[in-house]
Amino acid sequence: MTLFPWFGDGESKSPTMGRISEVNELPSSLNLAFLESLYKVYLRDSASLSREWVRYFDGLSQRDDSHIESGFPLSPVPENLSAPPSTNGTVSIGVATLQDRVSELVRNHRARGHLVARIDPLGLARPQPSEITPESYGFTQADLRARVACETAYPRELLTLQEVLERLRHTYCGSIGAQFMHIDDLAVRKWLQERMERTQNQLELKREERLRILAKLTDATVFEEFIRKKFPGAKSFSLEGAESLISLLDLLIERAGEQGIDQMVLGMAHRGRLNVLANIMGKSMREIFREFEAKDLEPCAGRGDVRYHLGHSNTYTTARGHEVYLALNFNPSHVEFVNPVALGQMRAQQDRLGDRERTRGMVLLIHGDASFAGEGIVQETLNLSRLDGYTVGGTLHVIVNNQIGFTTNPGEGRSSIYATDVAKMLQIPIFHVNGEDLDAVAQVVRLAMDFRREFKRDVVIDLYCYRRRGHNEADEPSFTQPLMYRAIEQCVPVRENYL
Amino acid sequence: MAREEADEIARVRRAVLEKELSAARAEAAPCPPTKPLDVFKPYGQSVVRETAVTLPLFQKIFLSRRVTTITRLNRENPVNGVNGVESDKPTADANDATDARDATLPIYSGGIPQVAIGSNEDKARPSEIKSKWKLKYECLPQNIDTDSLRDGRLGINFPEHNNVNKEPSKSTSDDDQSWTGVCR
Repeated sequence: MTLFPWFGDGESKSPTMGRISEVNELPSSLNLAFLESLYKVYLRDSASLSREWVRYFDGLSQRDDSHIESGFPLSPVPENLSAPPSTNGTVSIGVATLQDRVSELVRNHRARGHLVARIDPLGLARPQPSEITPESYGFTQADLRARVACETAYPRELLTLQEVLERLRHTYCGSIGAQFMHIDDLAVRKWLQERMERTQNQLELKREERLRILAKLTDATVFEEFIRKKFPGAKSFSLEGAESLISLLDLLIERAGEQGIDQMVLGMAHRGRLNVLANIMGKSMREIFREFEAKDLEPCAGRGDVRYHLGHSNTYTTARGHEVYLALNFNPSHVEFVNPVALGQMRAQQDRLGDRERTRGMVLLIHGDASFAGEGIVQETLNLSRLDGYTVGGTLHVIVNNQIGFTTNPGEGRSSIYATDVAKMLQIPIFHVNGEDLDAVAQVVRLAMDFRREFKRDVVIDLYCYRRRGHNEADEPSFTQPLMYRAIEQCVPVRENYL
Repeated sequence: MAREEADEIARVRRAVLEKELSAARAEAAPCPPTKPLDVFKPYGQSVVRETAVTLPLFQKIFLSRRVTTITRLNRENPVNGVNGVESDKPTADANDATDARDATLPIYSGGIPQVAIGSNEDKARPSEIKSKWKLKYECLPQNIDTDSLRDGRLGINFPEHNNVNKEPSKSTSDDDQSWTGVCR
């Protein structure tokens, strides 16, 4: 192989030029300008170039133009020459550029699909990126019928571009918006990619599993209705609008049981805490009602606490009979302060039990969207997650994302698109999921739990929902968020949707 | 899944909750009145007595965000305080109160709930409506129709209005023994 073939004598003039002279290497955007200058030389006087370059540029001129006769508009010819010509003449430049665009489309769905995923049950407007629409790649109708190679296809086979698009939309633009392309570790990305694309990010649930989901959803819904009816005006920080949290937690604990986890430490704020206490932690309803009657508390005397700060522990028996010990920590009014406490509690347990693999216990932290983005202790705790002295083998974070912080809209409360963006610092996947789609919630729970077990890293589930009432029972939200609450009024309760 | 099947799950769940609530309330049952009867006839109609239940129950109602104005009608009631503690003076002047929390103070100290319940909405209403709301407020806890405390409605039955032995009526007519006010 001659160096600097454009001079024809192989004499090196510049070390920089010399590195890109191997024509068997694929040209890239880095040497695009250089290649185009060579091409001009080729068009003017091909004899001044080496044989390799002449053969290369000859290959470009053999591109397949047969689609022009199909009646569809011409696909845009690439504006650069980086699409490689076939060395044996069997693959045309048209096919190569089509494949190149398909690969870019696939990659952008993986990276940006979450931006158009239907994760918001209120359907509020979000900015839409153009880079995952087929039009922006200049695909024609003929292109959509063309068979292309795509690693998103399982089992491996050639699919039409239309089929590839549908798979990508199901996987990345449905009720689950997955953020994982920020992860540098290729093995982690591949694992996630394969898990999601093999199933198109959907889970086939059996009837009994659906029944269980519905039962938990019913428990959550009936509990909130009952509290509102029997204790009007009492502060309960209702879970209405986010009842799917209870089904999510149930699915999560079931999966934990299947993975051999014996104990879980939970930390959460006030939103939905009573519902979690009643329907997940197994706290006696009678005890909860007595707290509403304020008979057992002595806050005025400096003792006790409000009912939505209280903790509880219990043994949860899964459907398969596995017992998981649950401990929900008490929580102060600072809604995220419990996070490091829960981690420390679990770490101490692991150390005491000699669980060096950190497979027998896990921490589950339930956050609010505004506090996760806004409170510094969240970042501080995330930072501990992979330190030898503090790790617990991965924490599962669930964001109850009701898209509001008391009366503050997301756009007024954080500088990032998502409340979860701070978690990207850990190189972990973030799954945004529409809380109205319980099947999607089930898929995300399974995915997150399996990821945590496989890589012993934190993982985030961002449960998109809404807050049907005010921040508490003394707040009238339609005064401060009239548009949002007009949309919420139109929402059918999640349980009704699931029937 | 059939809706009937799902509704059955909900029905069973509600029944459990009702049972638990009844048990909780039974455990927290009020003490007998420390004094046999506290006679009070503000309008020459009823005999009302205070029990320990009154305070938390009215707290629940009047601290609701749905109630925006509570005006105490009669500050001179010779009644016992909450839980039998003597208190013949209101702790605050609630006549001009516009905030529910402030306005409830004399109710608690005065014991017998003599309140007019109004709302911002009522301020714009004809005076005759507002006057109806001030009809009768000497109600025992059992007069509160808790089942109606939803959808912004506050129901108060007054069985002793005309006949102390008569069962509470379900009628919502102002002329009847029951009264249901829209309070939101």
